[in-house]
Amino acid sequence: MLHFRSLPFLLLLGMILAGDTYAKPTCDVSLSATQSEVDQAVVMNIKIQWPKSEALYAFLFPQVKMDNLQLQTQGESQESFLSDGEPWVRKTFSLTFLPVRSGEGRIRAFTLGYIDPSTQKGGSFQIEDQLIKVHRKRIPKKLLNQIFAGAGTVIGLFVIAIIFFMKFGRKTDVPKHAIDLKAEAALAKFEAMVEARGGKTTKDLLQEFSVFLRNFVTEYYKVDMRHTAIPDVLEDLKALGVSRQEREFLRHLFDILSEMRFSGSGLSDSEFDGLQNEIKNYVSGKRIVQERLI
Amino acid sequence: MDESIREVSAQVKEANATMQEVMREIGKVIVGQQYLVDRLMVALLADGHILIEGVPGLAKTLSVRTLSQAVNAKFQRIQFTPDLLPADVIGTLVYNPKDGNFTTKKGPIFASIILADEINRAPSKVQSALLEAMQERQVTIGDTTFPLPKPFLVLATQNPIEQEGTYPLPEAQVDRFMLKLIVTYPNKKEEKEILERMSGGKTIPVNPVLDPEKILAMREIMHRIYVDEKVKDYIIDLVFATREPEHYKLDILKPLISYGASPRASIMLTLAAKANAFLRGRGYVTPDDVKQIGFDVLRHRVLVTYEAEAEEMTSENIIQQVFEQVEVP
Repeated sequence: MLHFRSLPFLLLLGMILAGDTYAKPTCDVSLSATQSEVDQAVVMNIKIQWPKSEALYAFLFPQVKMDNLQLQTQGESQESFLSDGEPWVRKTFSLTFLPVRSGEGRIRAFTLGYIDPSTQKGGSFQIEDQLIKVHRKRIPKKLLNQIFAGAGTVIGLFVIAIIFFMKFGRKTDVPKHAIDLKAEAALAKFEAMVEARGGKTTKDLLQEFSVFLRNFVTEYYKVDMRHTAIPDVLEDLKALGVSRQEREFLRHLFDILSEMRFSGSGLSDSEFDGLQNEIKNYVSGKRIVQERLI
Repeated sequence: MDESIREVSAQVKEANATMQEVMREIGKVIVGQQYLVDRLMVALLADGHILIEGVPGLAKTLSVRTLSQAVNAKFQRIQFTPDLLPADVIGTLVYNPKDGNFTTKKGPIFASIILADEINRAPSKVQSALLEAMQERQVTIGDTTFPLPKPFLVLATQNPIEQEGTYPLPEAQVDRFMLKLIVTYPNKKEEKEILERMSGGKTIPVNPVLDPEKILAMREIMHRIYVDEKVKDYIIDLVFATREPEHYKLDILKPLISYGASPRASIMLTLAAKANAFLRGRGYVTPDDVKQIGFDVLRHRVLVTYEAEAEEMTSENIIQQVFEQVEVP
C-alpha cells in the first residue's frame, strides 16, 4: 500500500496536478446548415478555447479555398468565461458563405495555426473539408399559397364579369360610369343653348357662353366666378386643389372668350365652332366622376 | 381681329415687355407690395395721381423713389406740415436787392414724380395749391405760368392712425386723384426677406430702364387700346349704380349713399382699365380689367351718409355690392 507521504505517490500526484494545469487549445468546427439553396447563406464557426493561464495565443488564419461558394463575410471574436472556477478564453472565427449554383458546395480543408508569442510554443488544427448540398431556389410555400389563392380570385372575378357583361352589358340605358348630375344637366343646357340659336348674333351667343361657363365653374367648385376677376378665381381654384392643367385650360377658354367678345374683331365660323366644342368637351369631361363599372 | 387692333396689340406686347422690366428693377429693392407697384405703373401710364393710405413703414416713399430711378425721372419728396405755405410747394418770386428785380424760384413741385407726404397735415390753401397744379399741369408764379414736367405724377399719402391736428382733404379735391390705394402690411415671408435685404447695409442699385419720352410714347399706345361698347356700358352701369342704386335693384343702398361717383369717375375708370389691359399685354379692355381696378377708382368717389357710418358701412362695402349686382357683360 502506498503511503500518502511516499515518493511514488508524490510523483503521481505531481503528474496529475501538472496534467490539470496544462490544457491544449481545443477546436470545434460547425456549419449552420449542411443543406442550403442558391443565395441562402451558410455560416461556418470555428471555436477555439483554452485556459487563460496557459497563454495568450495568436492565430494564423489562412486564405480559405472553396468550390461553388462565395465568401461573403469573415469575422472573429474573443470572450472569457469560467470553467470549474478557472478563467478560460474562447476565440471564434465566423465565415459566411453564399452558394452559387445548385449541386455541391465545398469548403476545402485548411490548417489553422496558433502560437504563444512569449514562448514561441504553438500548434495547429486541421480543419477537414466541409460539404454543403445546394438546392435550387424555391418559392416559399406561404407565398405560393397566396399566389394560387390570388390567381384563383382573379379568374373567378373575370368569369363573373364576363357573365355579367353578357347578361347586362349590351343594354345602353344602364350607365357604365358614375355621373355628376349637375355637370350632366349643365351639358344638356349648353347643348340646348346652341340648338336654340335662333336669330341671336354671334356676340350674343358668346356672351351666353361666357355666362354659362362662369355659372358652371361657380356651382361646380363653389367659387364666385360671377363677381370676381378671372385671375383671382384661378387662385381660388388652385387653393382648392384643381389641377394646373385644368386651370390653364379654363384661363385659355376665358382668354379666347374675352378676345372674341371685346377685341372688336370678327369671328369665323370655324373659330366659333372650335370654341363651342372646347366648352362642350370641358363640361362633358366634368360629368364623369369615376371610371368604374357600377 | 381688326388690323388696327392687331397692330395696337403688337405694340402693347412690345411695350409691355419694357414695363415688366421696370417692375423687375423695382422688385430688386421693394419686397412684395406688388399691388402698390402695379398701381404706380397704372397711374404713370394713365397720367393719373394716387392717394395712398397706409401706416408708416410700408415702403411707400421707397417704392416711389425706386420707380423714379427705374424710369429715370426727377423725384421730389415734400413733407406736408401745418406751417407749410403754398410758396413752399409751387415756388415764389424772390426779390433781388442788387438789381431790384424779382426772380422766380421754382418749388419742389417741378419734378416728374412727387411724393406729397401726409398731405392732410397741411392747411387747405397748401392742399389747394398742390391740387390745382395736379389738375392744370401748370403753375403760375407771379404773372408767369410754368408748365410742369411730363410725365407728372403725384403720390399723396395720408396717415390713417394719427388724425389729430389734420386737415382732411375735401371730397371735391379727393376726386382729382385717379386711384386711392389702401396699403397693408407684408406677410411673414415678405417681411423676412425685407429684414434680410435691408439690414445688410448694402444699397441695391436700380438701373434706369425707361425715360420720360418713352413713357409718353407708351401713353400714346395706351390711348389707342380698344374698349368695346359692352365694356363702356359696363363702366357706365357701375358708375350709375352708385348714383341711382334703385335702378339696379340696389334699393338697400339708396339711404346709404350721399353722393355717387361723378363723370370723372367714368373717365378715370376707363383710363385705368386701359392701363391695366396694357400691363397685361392686351390691345383691348375686358370687364376683368374694370373689376380689377374698379375698387381703387371708386372707393374715394362714393360718399356715404351718416346712416351708413352709423351702420359701419364704408364706401368699400357699397362698391362691393355694386360689383356683385351689376351684370358683367
